[in-house]
Amino acid sequence: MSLTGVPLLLLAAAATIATGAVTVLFWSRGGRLRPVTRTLGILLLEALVVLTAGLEVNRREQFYPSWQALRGDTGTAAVTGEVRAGLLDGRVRSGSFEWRPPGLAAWHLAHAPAVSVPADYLSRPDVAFPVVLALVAPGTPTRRTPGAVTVTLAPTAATTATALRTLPAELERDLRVAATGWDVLGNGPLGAAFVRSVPAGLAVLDRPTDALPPALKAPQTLPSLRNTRS
Amino acid sequence: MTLWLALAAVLVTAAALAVLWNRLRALGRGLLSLAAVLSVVAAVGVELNQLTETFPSAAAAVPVAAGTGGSQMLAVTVPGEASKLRLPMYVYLPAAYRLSAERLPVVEAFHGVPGTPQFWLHKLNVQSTLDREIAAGRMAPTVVLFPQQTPNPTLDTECTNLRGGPQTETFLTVDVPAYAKAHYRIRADRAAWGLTGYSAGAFCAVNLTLKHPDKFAAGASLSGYASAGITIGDGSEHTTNNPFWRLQHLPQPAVALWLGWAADDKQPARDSRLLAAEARAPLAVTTAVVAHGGHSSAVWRQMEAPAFDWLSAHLAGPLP
Repeated sequence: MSLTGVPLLLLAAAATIATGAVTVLFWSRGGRLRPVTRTLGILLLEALVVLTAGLEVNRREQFYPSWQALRGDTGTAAVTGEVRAGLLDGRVRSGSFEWRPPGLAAWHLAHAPAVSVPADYLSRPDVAFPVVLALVAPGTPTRRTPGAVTVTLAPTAATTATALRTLPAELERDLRVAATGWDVLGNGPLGAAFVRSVPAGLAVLDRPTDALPPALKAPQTLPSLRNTRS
Repeated sequence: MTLWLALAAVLVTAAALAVLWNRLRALGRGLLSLAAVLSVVAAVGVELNQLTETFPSAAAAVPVAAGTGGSQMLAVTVPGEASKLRLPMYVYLPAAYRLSAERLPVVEAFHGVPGTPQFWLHKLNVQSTLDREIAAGRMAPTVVLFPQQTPNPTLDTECTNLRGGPQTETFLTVDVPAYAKAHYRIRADRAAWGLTGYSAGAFCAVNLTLKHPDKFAAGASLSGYASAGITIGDGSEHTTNNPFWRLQHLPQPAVALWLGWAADDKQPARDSRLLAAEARAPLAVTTAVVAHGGHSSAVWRQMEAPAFDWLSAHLAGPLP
């Protein structure tokens, strides 16, 4: 029987009326036990009145739509994942290195991007680091950002934001980096177009590097809307 | 204790009614019956108050609570110069607050209606949740503020500036940040400030994040609504204080929202889906669904850690 259904509500109401009737009917009976039977009748009646009112309020407001909900059973457990190791984690050394992902040719860069990892990248293998994506002129020295994976990229006239849309997935595959809050440095229109072209929240244009999110372990998560629909 | 006293009163009045009925005249019987009814009403009221923490007892108002992880929960009063409200607030300081000199990010956490910040402390065990998530490295050390949202626990403001009433929006977006910045070692930039809340507090978190993207970078909603459900006095519950209307008619701000709900919690589930469906870049929305549990503390306990973890990942970290 549903907690918020009419049958349960009617049952509770009927029980309340019946208890009231029986209490009145037996009010003058019971002999020496009369104080006890009267007291029990009153208490039961009071409890049923409260129960019926509570069922009606809950039916209207849907605080507890089911018996499971009333028991505190949510049927869901938050999942704590793990930060997946990057394919390059075994080869990364502190300092910077040339990054040659499979999709590199499609980006039409002046030369391969330079990547620098934070000093504690190797000593914290269970953490995803924030990302700084620096769009610079060819020949500009490699950028470094304390606490962040920094990708120094030298675009050419042939580089498009559409082509660079594959970069986040390539970087997330190769290194342990955060999936949101990337800082894209570079005042040119390419940086702005890249920020607009990637999913909302993934990248921010020209944010101060001290506003980067922290390096964190994998969060606790719940099923998402997409999972629910499927 | 209060509940046991109320239940004892129910028992005593019922017994008195049973024993004294034949010895009393009509007036006495009527008075005793009234006492019995009142005792039941009182017991129900006490239990409901324990469930919602609308009127917390003096014993429940913990001035300072130390967490097992070295954190502290402080009780303060915020004198709101801009709003002219003077309301209590709890302040969570993580262990790192004492152990380092960093400026920490901040989250304001709103309670439901009826309710008070004590619900976060007692029913949602927020201090131990924050201690655990920070110690596990899933959340950066963060100062969390639990302001009271109304001068009258029975007055639902939905964190808005009521026409001719409390200026709660001003209190929460101007006075509380000003007080926190003046008294604690925290970051002042919007990138490090987020909001969260459950039920009506979730509406507050979403509404204020969308209205004040210059002050808050992210908001997390636990079983929230898309509209205020009250009369504000200027009609803005249909427009500027209606997140669904804002998403449909105003440019969407560059903030991030986490919308969580229980699948069997009809109104918040419907409203959260509507909000998620209306979101467009640069607004980023993440959804989270609990299978069932209704509109209850069990659901919010389930969502609490994922919401705080998500908030931390979307706010600027501690600043050396």
